[in-house]
Amino acid sequence: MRVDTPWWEYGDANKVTDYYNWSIDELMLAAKLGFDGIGTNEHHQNPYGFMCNPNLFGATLAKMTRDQGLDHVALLQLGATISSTPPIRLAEEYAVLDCMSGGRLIAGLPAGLGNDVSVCNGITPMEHRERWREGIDLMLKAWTAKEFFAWNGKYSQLPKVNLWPRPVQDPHPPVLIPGAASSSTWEYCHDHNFPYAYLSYFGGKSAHNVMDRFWERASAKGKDANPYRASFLQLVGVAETDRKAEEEFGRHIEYFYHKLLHLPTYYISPPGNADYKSLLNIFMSGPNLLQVSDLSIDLKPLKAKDMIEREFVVIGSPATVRERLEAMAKRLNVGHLMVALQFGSMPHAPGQQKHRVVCARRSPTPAEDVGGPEVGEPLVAEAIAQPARQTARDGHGVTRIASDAVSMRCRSADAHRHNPFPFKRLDVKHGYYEREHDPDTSLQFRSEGENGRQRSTAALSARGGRTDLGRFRRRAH
Amino acid sequence: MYAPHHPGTGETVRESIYAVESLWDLVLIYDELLDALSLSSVPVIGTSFGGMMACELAAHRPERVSKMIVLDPIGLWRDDAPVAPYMLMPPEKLPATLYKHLGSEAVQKVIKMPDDPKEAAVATADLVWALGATGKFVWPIPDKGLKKRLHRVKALTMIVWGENDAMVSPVYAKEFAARIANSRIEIIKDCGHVPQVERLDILKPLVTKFLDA
Repeated sequence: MRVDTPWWEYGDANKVTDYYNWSIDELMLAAKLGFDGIGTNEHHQNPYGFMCNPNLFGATLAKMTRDQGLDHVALLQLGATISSTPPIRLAEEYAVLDCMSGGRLIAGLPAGLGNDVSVCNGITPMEHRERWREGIDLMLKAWTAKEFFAWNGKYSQLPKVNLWPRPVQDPHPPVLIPGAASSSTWEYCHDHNFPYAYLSYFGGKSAHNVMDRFWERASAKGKDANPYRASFLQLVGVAETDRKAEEEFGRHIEYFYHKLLHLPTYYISPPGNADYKSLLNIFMSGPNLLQVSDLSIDLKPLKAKDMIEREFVVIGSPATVRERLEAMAKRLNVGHLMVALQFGSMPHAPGQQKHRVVCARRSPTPAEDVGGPEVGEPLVAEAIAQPARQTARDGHGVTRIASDAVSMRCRSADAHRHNPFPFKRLDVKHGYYEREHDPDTSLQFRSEGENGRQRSTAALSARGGRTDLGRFRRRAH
Repeated sequence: MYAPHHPGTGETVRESIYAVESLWDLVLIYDELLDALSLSSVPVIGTSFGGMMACELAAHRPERVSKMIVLDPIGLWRDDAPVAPYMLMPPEKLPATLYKHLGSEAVQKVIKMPDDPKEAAVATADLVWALGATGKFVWPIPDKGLKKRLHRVKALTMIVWGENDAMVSPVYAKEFAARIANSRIEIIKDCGHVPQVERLDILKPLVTKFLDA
């Protein structure tokens, strides 16, 4: 199987101009549709995702959301790859983003994939995780230290650290650790009380094993089962009916899984990347450990209907999607839901969204069922908003983030839906943020006419007001 | 004869490799090993990564290496003959890159995995870990400055290469020979990257004769 895609054979810089701009447009659309956050990520040298530095896009989105009055939308950097970038530079860039956005950054601190870190950037696989851990320590200290300090690390040696600027959020932006099911990442998250984001591309059903083990490890370390310790990425497609959804998304699903997703194990994890314990774990467990969530598996024998059936992708009518997402969030116990709404060969999203708005007009979901979405709302907002409300009634709300990885014909408005705003800082000792448990909190979508254009605004409270940014403690000026 | 295990492999603690931070650390470990064994000067033989380490030792401490035999060593780089990216290969492709005669009894004996699934899992983990533990000192390109140090080697040196080495091209034999004053090349016909497995019949008398002379 071919695993490397030559640029000169498949790439087209003029098309990429569109892809980057479309992705930004799609993320802005997600922001307007009421997502709590929009996410960008970092990948290198492949057609699946080529945002080489998410902070380039985060900076663009920080300015655009601010200019459009979307000051309640979080910017989730999913994020910059610490092991292959000077961590002091990332501490600076994240601080800049937090300042530009007025304190809306969620600092994703992923270990990153072996192919990005070691193949594309030449970092020794055995040093990958050490660099990551040291880098996070340095970043946190650079953000928070009251005095200048010297850093004598193994991978960074700095004579004097005096970071300018510091983040707006105090003591520092919320941290999220994205990962791909490595048990040593869970250990790290639990030890530091950082929330974990499982970036599986194979749906909630195939994530049972992984997330169960994540929670088992939490329990073994005496940690509570606070759902905001966990986040999950899900590909989602909404259409008027289940049948239409299958018709609409089938070929895009096949394009995504057949053409874009394949990554062989020896790229994801070159020798030395996984520690010896993890290697034993992997080889002893055989194929059952991750079930399908192994990017090295040949997915070509699976057709769209198989992948829909196995819920790699959650697609269907708003009611179907709602039901599935709700069940998934409960089963996996995840408080932050990220959805990728743009995947595979899907056309530019605004066209799609327009289509969905029309659908919604034709078949509005009963108001009592969804808490009153108004006619004209996009189906996707309807489908995603409801699980948030429903789970809120069950004791916890779901944060929704839209995320994006710019891809060849796959401008995945990888809309990583994350919700920064209803987060509050627990205490200094607990490094994670918890959404306030407020059973009355509900996500409502208001449609406002603005200059003759339809504009959806997310309002995150039963009182119909804007998201309360005050829940973030700000640095006193 | 002493055959030290590279840290993290063989009978050593797997995690011990983390304490060895640089190639320099690793060279000094060999230097101190000779101290501990009270050996002032010895003949050294190394293959592939081990061949590179033999050269590093002989370059850093020329007086401690009396004679040197290197079998298909890595450590130099030519853009027109890149060393195969052996850490970035599908597992099934690696043996085919290492050996010319995959089906031969000698090769099969070396690459055969244990029948017991647990033992096979451990053996696989060990194999991957060994690549990582040695790869730590050569990633991503096995060219860590040896070309600037090889002229320091004083030992009488025999450079052995499998004629059909698909991992490190035999053109490198001349690169090593050009930098080591007292050296000669022996090309072994019908042989891949691992002469001691594929052509022990030819290699053994060569080595014995070289050491006895």
